[in-house]
Amino acid sequence: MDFLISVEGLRQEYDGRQVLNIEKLELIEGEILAVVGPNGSGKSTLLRLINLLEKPTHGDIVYWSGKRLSEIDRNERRELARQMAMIFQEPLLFKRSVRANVTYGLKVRKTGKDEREKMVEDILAKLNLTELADRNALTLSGGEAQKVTLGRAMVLQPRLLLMDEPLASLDVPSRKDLRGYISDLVREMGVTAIYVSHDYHEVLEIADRLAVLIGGNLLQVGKPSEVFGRPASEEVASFFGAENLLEGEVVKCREGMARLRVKDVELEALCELPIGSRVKALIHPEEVALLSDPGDAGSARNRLRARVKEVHVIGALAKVTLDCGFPLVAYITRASREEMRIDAGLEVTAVIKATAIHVMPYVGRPEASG
Amino acid sequence: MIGLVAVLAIVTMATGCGEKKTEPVERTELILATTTSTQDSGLLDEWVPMFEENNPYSVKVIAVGSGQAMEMGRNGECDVMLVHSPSEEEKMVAEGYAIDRNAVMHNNFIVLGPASDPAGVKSATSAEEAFKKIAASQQPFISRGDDSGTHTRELKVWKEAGIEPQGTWYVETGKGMADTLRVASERKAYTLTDDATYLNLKEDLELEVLFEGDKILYNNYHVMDVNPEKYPDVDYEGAQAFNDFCISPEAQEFLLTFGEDRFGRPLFIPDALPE
Amino acid sequence: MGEIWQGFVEALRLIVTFNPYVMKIALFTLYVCAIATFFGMLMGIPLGSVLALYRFRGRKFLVTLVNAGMGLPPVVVGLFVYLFLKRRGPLGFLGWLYTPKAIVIAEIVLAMPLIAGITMAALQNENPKIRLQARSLGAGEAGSILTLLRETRISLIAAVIAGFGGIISEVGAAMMVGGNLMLNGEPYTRTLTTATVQEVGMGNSELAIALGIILLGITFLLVWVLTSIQQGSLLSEPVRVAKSLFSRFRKEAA
Repeated sequence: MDFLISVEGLRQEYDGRQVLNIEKLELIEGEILAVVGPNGSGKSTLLRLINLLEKPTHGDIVYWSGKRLSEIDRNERRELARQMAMIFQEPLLFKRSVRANVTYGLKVRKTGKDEREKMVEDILAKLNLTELADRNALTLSGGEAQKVTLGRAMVLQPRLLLMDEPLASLDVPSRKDLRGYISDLVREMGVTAIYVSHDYHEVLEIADRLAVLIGGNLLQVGKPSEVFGRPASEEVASFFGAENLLEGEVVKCREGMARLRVKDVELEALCELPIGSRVKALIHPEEVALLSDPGDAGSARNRLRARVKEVHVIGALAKVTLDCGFPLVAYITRASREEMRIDAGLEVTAVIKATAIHVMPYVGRPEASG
Repeated sequence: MIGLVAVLAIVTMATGCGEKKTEPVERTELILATTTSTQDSGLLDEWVPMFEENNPYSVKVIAVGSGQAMEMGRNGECDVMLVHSPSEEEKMVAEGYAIDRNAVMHNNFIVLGPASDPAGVKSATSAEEAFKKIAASQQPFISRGDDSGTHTRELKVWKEAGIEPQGTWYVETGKGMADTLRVASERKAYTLTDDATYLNLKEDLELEVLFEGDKILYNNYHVMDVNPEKYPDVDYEGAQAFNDFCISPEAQEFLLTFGEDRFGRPLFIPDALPE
Repeated sequence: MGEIWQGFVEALRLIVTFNPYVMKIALFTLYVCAIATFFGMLMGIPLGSVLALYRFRGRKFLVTLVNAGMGLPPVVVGLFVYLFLKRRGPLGFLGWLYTPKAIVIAEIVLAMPLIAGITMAALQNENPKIRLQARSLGAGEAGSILTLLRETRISLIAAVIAGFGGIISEVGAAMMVGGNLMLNGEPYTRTLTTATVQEVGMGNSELAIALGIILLGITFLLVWVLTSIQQGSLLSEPVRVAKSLFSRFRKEAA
């Protein structure tokens, strides 16, 4: 596996305030790495540092040529910078035609006129912008403008494409449209990309790996399903809006199977932590099954008697809030809900597999994995 | 955009109108300080070419008020002066700032005013009396107020008349003779002027000559060199050359007819004609 | 009214017959104003850019100077330049007083703060992220500033128009440091403005009005050209067409 860039002990401070602190992060060549986290978590700073627009207070970045950020001179820096391109949330287009905007970077690199024109026409065609080529860039709609921004960066055939919340200011249909273009173009041209967003939903589709940055710290890196399904810490879990995050204590543990006490209820879950450890347990609402008849529970270890407190229909799903000694949220299909006639006040059985309970230690921040 | 401006600059430079043309004769620059009224009479437009024909100089004529012209001489900012403020000139010579003072020409100062002559200046028998009448009637009087030769003379007359000109009727323009005359014409006021300027502007003015001829109103022009002992870097030779020219027969005889075609009489009376 | 009409007729006559006196004065005026504007831009645009885009100690003071400089009275500038260039002055040894160089110096002093001030205000109004975007596309520090300047070109041209307009119409400084001279029978430091004052003083009203009309005409013409460039109409269209025709011709010839 080839690493395109490798971040080592990177720290950035503004006016004595630390905004970024990443011990280690490696970017795999050819992947799309999504960096997610709440606003102000240092994501944009990371991009600017990689893009050589800012200098870090500490630490280093190793680039593909083997060059280290701390060692390069001005010319090498410019060379390196020219192999990367960045697009932002604002289109930041110049007051020129669409074509002139896309040509900008090539002109800076002094590419020959004929070659330049061919590359530009090519990219315009790929992005379906040929008809708009002569329009003044400032007259475009949000989605069209971001397409131009994408084209302006991709025409340079960068080794690394950096995207800082490129879809954040677009409406939903434009987002879908542009997400497709980004994904297609990046894969087609074999470009490695880092995609920063505070909205993890939009990256789940296109990201190969997900890195979670909160408060300047890298908390977890891995495949989206891993990070999402098995968050390394409560913080990561909260960021993903975990609905059922319970506090408890390990009361029994044998051969990888543990018994947790949450409030007055005991749950069985997969867990290696010693007895007495304080834990947080995450249960995805989709993994909570509801039964009218406890006998249908199957092999699931956890069967809890619960009373329905609230039902909220969202599209094809029904969000059911229960009380089973502790608050529990379940998502079931609308059809099931209607079938079982689930409404507030009804007593049901909530069934949860032991494997569906994700247990995390409660104290401190775990080391970033990945 | 910068290109357009640069092209313009280059084109006009190419037409050679920024600097002096190169001439076969080596010419030194000579700075002549004189008064605006002398300049405005047009005399120097004739005299300077005549002088330059036989002398290897390029004369730069700096026309300012008499006071400033002589101040330039005191500071060594010019080489030669042609002015008409006798008392000041005498002071300069006495203090050693000027030498070779020679009488060149003269004309007269005259008192102008509205045709209606509310102050009754026409009947005055002397300049002082004319001024007394104006002050008494409180009719508006426009003064140059700029230490020029004309202004100095005007103040001398007020002094002789024993009057300190003050009040809303006495206005100082601080400007040259032409502008001052225009103001006087607009306000239908009285004023003192040299007759050369008046003749030049007569058509545009609604003023009449109401008094002239008093000896105190003779307007005498002198040429003086800046003393090289005070300022060794002045062009004394050049100053002397111009000085000699002003009192040369050529220049003096020229004065006999200068202005005749335009005004029916010469603007200046030569003071250094050969016997 | 009749006077003005006569002056207009006289102005036409002087232009059509290429009257040498008037032509030389007009071209000289254009010459000094063009050079002064050029240097005003050369110094003013970078100065305005630095003040707009960088923070450093003493910046506020410099900005105040520039803003104050925009309102400098030309006569006062002329006075100070005169004091520096006169024989007994600190720069007297240069011998520049009463030469065209002195007028150019005074006019640069007048034009530069104006151009710098407007450039600075224009750049501060632009989205600073544009520079970041330019750099992330590979432009260097200077390149990103040039790109930003291109974005404000409308304001920059306004700055040039303001600078040029200010100096072509001023008379006090040109008179004081140039002297409104004829040399060897030719206009030497005579500009359209100082010559107008001269002719008025001599009683040549028609010539004065004619000179005034020519001055207005020249100013209007030049500003018209600059405005066309600024608003992108009159000139850019024919230029663009000419360019594309030319390149097509070249392609076919190749």
